[in-house]
Parts: sequence; C-alpha cells; structure tokens
Amino acid sequence: MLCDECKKKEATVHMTSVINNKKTESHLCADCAAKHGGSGSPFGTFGFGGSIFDNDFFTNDFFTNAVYPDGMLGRRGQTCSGCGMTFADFNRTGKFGCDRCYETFASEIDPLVKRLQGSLDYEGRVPGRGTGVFKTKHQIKRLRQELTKAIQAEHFEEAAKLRDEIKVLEDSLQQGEA
Amino acid sequence: MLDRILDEPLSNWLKRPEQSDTKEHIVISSRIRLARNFKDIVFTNRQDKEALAKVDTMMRGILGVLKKADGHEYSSISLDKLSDAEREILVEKHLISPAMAQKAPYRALVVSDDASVAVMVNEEDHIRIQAMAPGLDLSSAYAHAVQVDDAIESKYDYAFNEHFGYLTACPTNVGTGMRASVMMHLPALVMTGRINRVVRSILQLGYSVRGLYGEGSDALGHIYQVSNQLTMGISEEDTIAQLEKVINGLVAEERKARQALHDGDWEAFEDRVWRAYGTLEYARRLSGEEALSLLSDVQLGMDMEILPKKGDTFFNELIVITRPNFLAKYAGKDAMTASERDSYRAKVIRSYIEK
Repeated sequence: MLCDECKKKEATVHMTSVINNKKTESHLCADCAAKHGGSGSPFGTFGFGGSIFDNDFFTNDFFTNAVYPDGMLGRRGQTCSGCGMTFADFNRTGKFGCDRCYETFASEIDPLVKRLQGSLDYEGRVPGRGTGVFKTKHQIKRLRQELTKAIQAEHFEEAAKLRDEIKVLEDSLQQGEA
Repeated sequence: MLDRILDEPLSNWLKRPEQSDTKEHIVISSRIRLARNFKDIVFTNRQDKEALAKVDTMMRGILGVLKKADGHEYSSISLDKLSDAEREILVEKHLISPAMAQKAPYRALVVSDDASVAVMVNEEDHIRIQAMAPGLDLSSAYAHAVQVDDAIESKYDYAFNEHFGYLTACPTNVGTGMRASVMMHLPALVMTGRINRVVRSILQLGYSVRGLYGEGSDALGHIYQVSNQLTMGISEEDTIAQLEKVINGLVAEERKARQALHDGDWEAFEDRVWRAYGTLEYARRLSGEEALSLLSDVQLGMDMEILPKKGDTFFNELIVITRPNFLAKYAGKDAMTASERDSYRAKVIRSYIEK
C-alpha cells in the first residue's frame, strides 16, 4: 500500500491508535515517518534494525495530537512530589518522571490510558511482594476464568479441582480480613 | 563473553533447533520484552545521575541471583566502555535499541551467556527484560522472561500499582509492560501483492506490523515484525495466545501465496530465484540493500526446493553479517569505506554459497 502522506512510496510503518474506542490507522513510508519524529523516535531512527524498540511515542506532534485531540493539552496542575514534574511537562515529553506520577496525576491518567488502551482494568502478573491480598484476589479472578473455560470444554475433573482451589483462596482471604 | 556476542553472527539461542518441524523459514524468531521500573527511583528520562547510577549498581549486584534463576552466566556490559561501532553491532543484533546506542553514560546491557536474555538497563524504563527464542515460541520466551523478572523482583521492589499494573515511563506500556513480537520472512506475500491486505487486517485486530529493514521503498529482505500494542485489559498469557493465532494465520497466508507462485508462471519465478542465486554466487560488490533482497529471494527459492539447500542458519546468519558494523568487525577492521564494505560483503556471501 502507498504512504498515506506522500502517496508515492510504499508504506512500511503501520500503526493503529485507539481513540475513544475508535481505531485510526496510519501507514507511512520511512521518509514521511522520519519527518514525524525526532532522532529518538521510532519513526525517526527507522534505519536498519531500528524497529524493534518502540520508544518515544509522544515526542512529536503527530502522536500528541492523535492521543490528546481536545483540550487535554492545556491542563496545568500540581507538581509531582516524587520528581517535580507537572502534567504540562508530561504533555510536552510524553513520559512520566517517576512511579509517583501515577498517583499525582491519576485523574488525568485514567482517561488517557482509557483512550490509548481501550481499557482500565489491569489484568496480568502481580509482584510477589507487598500486595498479598491483591495477588490472591487476582489469582481468584484468573482461576474463575479458567473454571469457565474448563466447564465450557466439559473438562469436569479439572473444573472440580479449580473450584476447590478457588474455595481455599477465598477462605484465606476471609480469614485475612476478619 | 562480550567478544563472543560481538563476534558471532548468531547468538547461541538462534542456533537451537526450532520446535516446529516445518522446513520453510517463515517465522524467524520470537521475543518477549517486559518494561519494569523500580519503586521510588525517578525514571530514566529525568536524567538524574544518582538514580541512573543506582539502577546500574542494582543490576550489577544481581548477576548471581539471575544465574541461580535460570542457570546461565550473566554479565553486565557498560555501554560507555564500548566503541561506537561495537554499540552499533549490538543494535544490528537487536540486543539494544538505536536510542540506547546514542546515550551511553550509566547505560548497560545485562546479558546471558547465550544472549537469549538481554536486559537493557536505563533505557526508557529502568530495565527492559528481553527474552528470545527461535521460531514461533513466545511461550518459552515468556517463561524465561518471567524467571528473570521473578529473580529481580525477589531482591528489589518494582513500581507497581493495583490500578495501573506495572508503571512505565510511557503510558503505552503501562499495565503488563509486555511487548510480544515475532519476526517473520514473508516474501511470497510481497511478490503476490497480497501483503497490504494482510497487513491491514492485522492492524485492524490491534497489532502493529513493521518492516524490519524499513529504509527505502519496500520492507527490505521481506522481513516483518508483528507485535501486540495493548498492555492493559489483557493478561500476558492471553496476549501471547492471541498473537500466536495471528502469526499462525499469517504463516497460512504466506503458504497460500507460495502455492500461488507455484501455480502461476513457474518459470518466471524459477528465473527470479536462480538469478538471485547467480548474483550472490558471482557478484564482486554488493550493497547492504541488494544483499538483503537477493538473500530473501534465495531463501524462498530454497524453501520451495528450487535452489540447493545451504543449511538452516544461512539466511539468519547472513542478514546479520551483511550489516555494515558487524561486517567491519567480521573483517577485523575498525572502519571500512563503502566500496570496501560492498566488496567484502560480496566475498563473505560467496563463501557461504560455496559451502
């Protein structure tokens, strides 16, 4: 397919962005992609071997505009106590400065992540330390999903095992809370 | 260990036999990347020397723990101790990012003896754990990445929050912090003009597709990289399972396209791959771009049993050796002019063809 922008060269950089649950595709040739990015951007250093690492998505207007189409850019607010960044700084660089930014700017980040990722429900690994209750809850959620799958596949022996495992975990949670 | 990584075209992990018994080389390799940051240390982009040095020291102190976790010897390579050319070789071998090759102080690569695990230290995130496997084998790459992840987490607290998951510098990675990607050789889809339609449908499913060697008008060498984009709302296992489905679909499409070449003007196709073979066999100068596109044709010709087989690692090795910086190192030179490079490149390829 041809480049969306110059309509001349073959597009070799293909990206999808999800904004308000609406998917936008962009197909650019290496030259036009490079125009959209600085030297650190994946679109900028799209030379040999430069494509595996997906950094610096927001360091150019092309993406910034795609991600924050309306109003969000002007917002100013508190300063992060962890690193001294403001949300305006984030808008400029596209990067957070420390883990505490995620608490400081939580109300701004929620809609942003929702726009970017289409979801705000974290599913995935949980570190083993310090978050015992959360980890157990998460494990129960996963086992329930497996249980549903097992039942659908009519693997009843496995389902029974999963049910018992869930029970044990739920009991341990209740004891912990009591 | 560093010498071995810089000198050998293929890391040991890429020489391992693939799990699949297919004779064609459609899927080249699988990779898992986990982005992680440590709790209460400012992120790399703040350029805080103390924080950068601390993360570097933390990762140096963990080599023994990593060895216990997976049995491999690990070493930490400070990028500022390498020459520009050596850093570029690490980029050509996809062990570090191009951005990382440019900003050396406090940046390091923690790498296992077979280079199947390479942790970028102080890149965009404090650490980026990369685990690689040959062929389509995201699950073992993921299992290996998790071993390393757990080992690091047993010593240091990660930046994690119950709402957002693993906290990353860029919100496109927040959540699992995982990027699963598969490198593929798709020459028949390109030759039959079907690649655009296929790429479009993959994009619609929410995955990204990139030409690996994207300079110029075409994805050179017909090598593509397919990866997931979402890190929130989907678990690591589901991401991998879904991506594998997409990859298997792509492999099926590539096979169909190969069949179409078979059913089409067969002689024209034979002519194309034999001409590519002939050029590689006799050329005295080859540019990097020409070498990639001819190597792609020749590999396809071997897959389709037109050309004599040259061994399983022929293509994978040569696409690394023919990169400019690796080539100079391979020649034992610090620097080469463009024509010296083209001449040496042609010579190396001839020797591989004669093997």
